[in-house]
Amino acid sequence: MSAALSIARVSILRAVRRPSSWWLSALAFLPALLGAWLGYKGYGALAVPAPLLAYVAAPLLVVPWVAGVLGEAFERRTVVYWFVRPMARPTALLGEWLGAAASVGVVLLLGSAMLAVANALTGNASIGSLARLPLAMLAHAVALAGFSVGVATLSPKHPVSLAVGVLAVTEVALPSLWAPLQAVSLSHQALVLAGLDAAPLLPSLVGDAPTPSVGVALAVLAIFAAVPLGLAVRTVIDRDL
Amino acid sequence: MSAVLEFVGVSKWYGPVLGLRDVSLTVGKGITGLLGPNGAGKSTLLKCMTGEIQPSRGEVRMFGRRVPDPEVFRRLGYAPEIEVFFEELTGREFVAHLAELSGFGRAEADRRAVAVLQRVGLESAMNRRVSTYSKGMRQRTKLAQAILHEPDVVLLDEPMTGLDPLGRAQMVALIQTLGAEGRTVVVSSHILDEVEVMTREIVVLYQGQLLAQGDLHAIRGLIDRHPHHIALRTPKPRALAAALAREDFVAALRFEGDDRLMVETRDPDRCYSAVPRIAKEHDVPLLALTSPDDNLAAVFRYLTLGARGGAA
Repeated sequence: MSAALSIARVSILRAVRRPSSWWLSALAFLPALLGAWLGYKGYGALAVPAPLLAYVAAPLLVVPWVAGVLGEAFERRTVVYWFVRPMARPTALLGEWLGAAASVGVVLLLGSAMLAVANALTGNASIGSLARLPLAMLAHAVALAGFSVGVATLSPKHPVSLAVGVLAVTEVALPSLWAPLQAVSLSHQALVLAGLDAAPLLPSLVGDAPTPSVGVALAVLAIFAAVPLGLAVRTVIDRDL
Repeated sequence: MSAVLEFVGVSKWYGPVLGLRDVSLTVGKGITGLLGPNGAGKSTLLKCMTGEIQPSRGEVRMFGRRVPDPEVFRRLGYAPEIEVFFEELTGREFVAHLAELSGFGRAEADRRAVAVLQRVGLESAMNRRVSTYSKGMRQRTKLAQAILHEPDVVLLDEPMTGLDPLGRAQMVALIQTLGAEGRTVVVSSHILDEVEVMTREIVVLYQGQLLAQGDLHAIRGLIDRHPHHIALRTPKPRALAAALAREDFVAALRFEGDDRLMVETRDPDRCYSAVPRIAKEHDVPLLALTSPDDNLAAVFRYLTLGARGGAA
């Protein structure tokens, strides 16, 4: 576990020192600005910015931050420095996930907290939204980070395109075809956790939306991270570098 | 020689491309040079030793244990041929991080990182980010992370690449010290003379095949019977050529561009020792002295053809 924590700590340190991390972080705060402006104009501060944060900003922030960087480490073979140390290879994935989840989690936590505060200041707040939205976005970040680590390990050559492709299917294409398939949408479930209206990004052609359930939301988030991570662990053990 | 490393019938294919063909060899304590032209399979052999890649057939054992094995990794240090690190870290942070992964606590890891970076001559740059490091500094950093945990086996993939003459001398001294400490050191190179100054024990690979293993004298003799090319880089190639033309070890001279002089010799040892002295005597700056890979490759081709002819 200490090896995983060391990798996590270094992952955070590297992220802090990468200029691209700071640019990507800005994405998490744009919905808060939009929310403040909408609230000031008398509209709901969350109605548009919260889905924007969940569906657009969070994936655009997390995928390049996590999948892009880890994919590059595989492609440039810097992972070799880890894999010739006395630890199981999956430990490195665990460490990367912990570090990535912590770093993108903090950014999304802060961005969504600002959005919640903007909502509260413009008179649209329920006290619950102040805490639920940031916590839901933190869970969203943890799941997206796990998904990204898995995708980067499975497809180090094109991790970002593959991750974006998968997310385009689960977040947009499937729910817009048949409303019950919103259940597979990570962003939808994050909004359910936040206690917000979790309408699909695009209107569904047929069917009725699934009944929101916090339990289902947590399970979907866990599966979304666990499946690619599990496949990645199986792959990385025997893979030639 | 008691075997530390064993290859038993190891073959490796990359799709249709053959990386190693039925290699069986043992490596004991001390320094072993892994020699072969580019693409001979040296890196593939080293990667099989570290478990980076799995052999398609056969097995690799270290201390009697099949690689990869975490217990083996406790006793193994490896400097790969890649020149990238976690570029956002300082040299000290990078090495200390890898020391932590080798099982040391944070304070001990940092202490070891500082000590080993001093040992490889990077003390003045260790708090700079590795993204600012030169090629030579990267080689030293790679060596530092490979030896920080005082491993019994050290594998170095082309450790001389990018080093200036002083850096090469320091690297050779470090490697010789590691060998003298009783460690098993495997150094890969495509330049015979690099290996020759470190050890007489060599493994020769060519096109994925083990061509020879043992004392360097045999192959050295073969090379000396064939014209040996040495490339010199100097801003005054004509002045240097005029000075060298008088020497009996020079068989031919050829200009290649404005700052390159190619020397053909049948006595490379004398040539290597005499050229810097002659350049200095004639006040000609000598910027680089290298042996092109072609020469060694030619000898390997000769050896391969000779072996085929002998077999026939």
